[in-house]
Amino acid sequence: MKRLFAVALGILTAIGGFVDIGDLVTNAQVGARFGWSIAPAVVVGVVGICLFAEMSGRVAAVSGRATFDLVRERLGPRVGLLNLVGSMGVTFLTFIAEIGGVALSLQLVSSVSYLLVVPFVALAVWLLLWRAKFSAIENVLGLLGLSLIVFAVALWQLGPDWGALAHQAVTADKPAGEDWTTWAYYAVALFGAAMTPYEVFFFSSGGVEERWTAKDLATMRANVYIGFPLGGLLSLAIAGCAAVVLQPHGIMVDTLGETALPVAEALGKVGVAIAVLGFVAATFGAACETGLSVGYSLAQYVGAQWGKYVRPQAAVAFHTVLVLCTLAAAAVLLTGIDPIAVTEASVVFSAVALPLTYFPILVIANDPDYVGEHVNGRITNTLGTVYLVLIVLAAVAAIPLMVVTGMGR
Amino acid sequence: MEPMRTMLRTAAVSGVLALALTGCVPSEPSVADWRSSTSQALEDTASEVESVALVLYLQSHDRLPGRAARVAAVESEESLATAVEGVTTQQPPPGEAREDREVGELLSRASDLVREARIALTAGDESSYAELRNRLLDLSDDLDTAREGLR
Amino acid sequence: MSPATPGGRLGRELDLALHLLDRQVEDAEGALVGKVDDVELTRSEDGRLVVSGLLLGANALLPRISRRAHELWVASAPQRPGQHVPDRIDLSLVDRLDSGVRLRTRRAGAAPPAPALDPDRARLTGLLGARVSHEGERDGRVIDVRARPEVDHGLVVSELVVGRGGAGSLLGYDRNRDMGPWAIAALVRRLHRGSWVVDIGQCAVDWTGGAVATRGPRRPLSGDHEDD
Repeated sequence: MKRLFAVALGILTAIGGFVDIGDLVTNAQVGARFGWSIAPAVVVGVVGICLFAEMSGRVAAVSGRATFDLVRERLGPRVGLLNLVGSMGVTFLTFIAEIGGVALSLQLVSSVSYLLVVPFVALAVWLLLWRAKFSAIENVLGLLGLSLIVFAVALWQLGPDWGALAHQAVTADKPAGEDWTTWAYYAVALFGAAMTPYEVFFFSSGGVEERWTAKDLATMRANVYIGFPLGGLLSLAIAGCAAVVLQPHGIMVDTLGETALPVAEALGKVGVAIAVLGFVAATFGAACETGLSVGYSLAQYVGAQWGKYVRPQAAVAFHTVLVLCTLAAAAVLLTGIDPIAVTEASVVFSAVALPLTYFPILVIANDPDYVGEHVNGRITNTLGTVYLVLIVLAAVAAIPLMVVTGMGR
Repeated sequence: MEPMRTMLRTAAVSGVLALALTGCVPSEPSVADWRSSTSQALEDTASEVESVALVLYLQSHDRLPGRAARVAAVESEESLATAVEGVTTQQPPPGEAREDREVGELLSRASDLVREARIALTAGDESSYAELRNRLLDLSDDLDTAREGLR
Repeated sequence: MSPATPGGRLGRELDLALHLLDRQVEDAEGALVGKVDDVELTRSEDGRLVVSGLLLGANALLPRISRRAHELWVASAPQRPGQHVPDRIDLSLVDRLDSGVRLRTRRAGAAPPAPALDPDRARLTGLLGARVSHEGERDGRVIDVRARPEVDHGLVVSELVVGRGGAGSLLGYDRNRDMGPWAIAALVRRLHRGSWVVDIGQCAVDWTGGAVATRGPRRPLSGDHEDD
């Protein structure tokens, strides 16, 4: 019974934790402009994150090694350093976007300018990490993040023409006014939003710290294979809501408030309140996770003590990094840069940084020296190779597409 | 190893230089560029105008919390200001002066109307919502027509 | 097993770059100490090259990343006589090696500065990447170093793996015939189809110049598999 509860809790928090500011913004933007015609990119991204997270979760459980340990062991200190700088940069960018997202969500509730909220959000994130209390609150935030299910309810309430939506999704039937390069740009962005590298750093590091063993593989797989796809369905619901309510009016999403408008139309004030609660929980949880992930990556590269359960005096370097990056993130946001623009950049650069960590994990998930009998099976390896190609293609195409389309204008 | 490194370094330096140089060349006002950026600004403006109209509609049916409505209106007003600024600071190419004046008028109408709507929303002046919304929707149609004209 | 012989992977033949270098070091209670940034080798009187310790910290890591970065690091505090000396963990403190290195002791005080100017000591990374000439002809670089435990001598370097590419670029594919995914395995094997293995007794190492001269018989790497 207790085990069942643990599995259920894991799945529920995986659903709530899947959606972050990148998914919220990108899915609403894409839904409002392209309907469900780019939905296949979400599906491809969700299958990819399941594959990636399962492999690194399995390596973490059997060998006790987290992502950046493996990156350095397989790629050496030089390539590993380049990798570290790239991945940490992207995760830090995501961290900025999440803190901005919390502030924007709170602005919707309080109508106080988000710039005034940013320092308090940063302080709250840092306090949670410093007092090593995030591990206690993590599940609460994950469960509160489930209130984003309101988007699925809203979509059902709106009663869209399901046949038309499905047709768009299956045939990639984009609106006539948009061209294929813009479509491709947003496909890469959605892929990056679904496969954000920090999710894997955080997941595998958590597994190492909670001392998973081969016995926990079934629980870990349940979280990944059930939680993430359901989280992906929430992403699709957000896009669907925007497609039904915003697309006919030609409203392009460039604020977080616009993401919630379809919920208002479908479910009224209560719906909006629940949606905003979901925004706050999802972005706040993700802010803590990305902050920790920046620290994890660096500490795992140099071998210093790290962890969300570890007291600061036992992991000085790790906590110094957390302080510095929280301060830096707040400083960046206080320049008045648009957090939505930071979010857009972070999902695209996520796609760029992905191969750097995916490749070593794919190799090590095959190495019996690390995972013993739990090496990749034939299906995992076939999929893994297909995704290696996909991930490299998306990474190579991302920046040219961003330049050519002027960030999807 | 060494020649490889030198080659990479040379390539990197020349790449950066090339980027810097292309950035330094002053952009000539071409008709096509002007049309595409103006059309983009009209589209962005129409999007904000429609967004405020939707907020008014939702608010008048009591479907949106007042604070969220005000924040949404203020955010739309700010985004609109950015879009408008992008166009009005541009130098119109010769021969497009009439179109430029028309676009300028439309955009300032949009700024004024969105501002009016934001004031009404903040003051909670519910009696004016329906009329404001109709005017916003008319304006949105005009913006679309103007954009068609630029094609 | 006597307390001085470490267990796990260190109890049988291993590839020092693949299995030991860059691994995480943990103390007896699981607290994290650092990475194996380099491995200390000692030249014994009978000519054997023995793995004697793990080297940690900026002074072991930085020279591997960039010589210039390390010079700047040393120059940042020239008043400290130990500014260029890495921290050293004696191999006798190592309990076992699996996916990481586990120590027998707590981490406090486990890694004192290495003896600075000992002519008998060498670093693994002085050997990895060294240019190799076989009977006077240039043929690749050292991409891994094999060691195996010998009674009364400890962990002794036995063979050099020579080929194209960087140290560790075999990614473990030479060790397991069936390791997937197929496409990566095929690519790695193709890149390393000319790689070969030679006994350390047939090698003359020029430590300062980073070069190795070999002679006598050698065997292709492609025939070596652990699972045979």
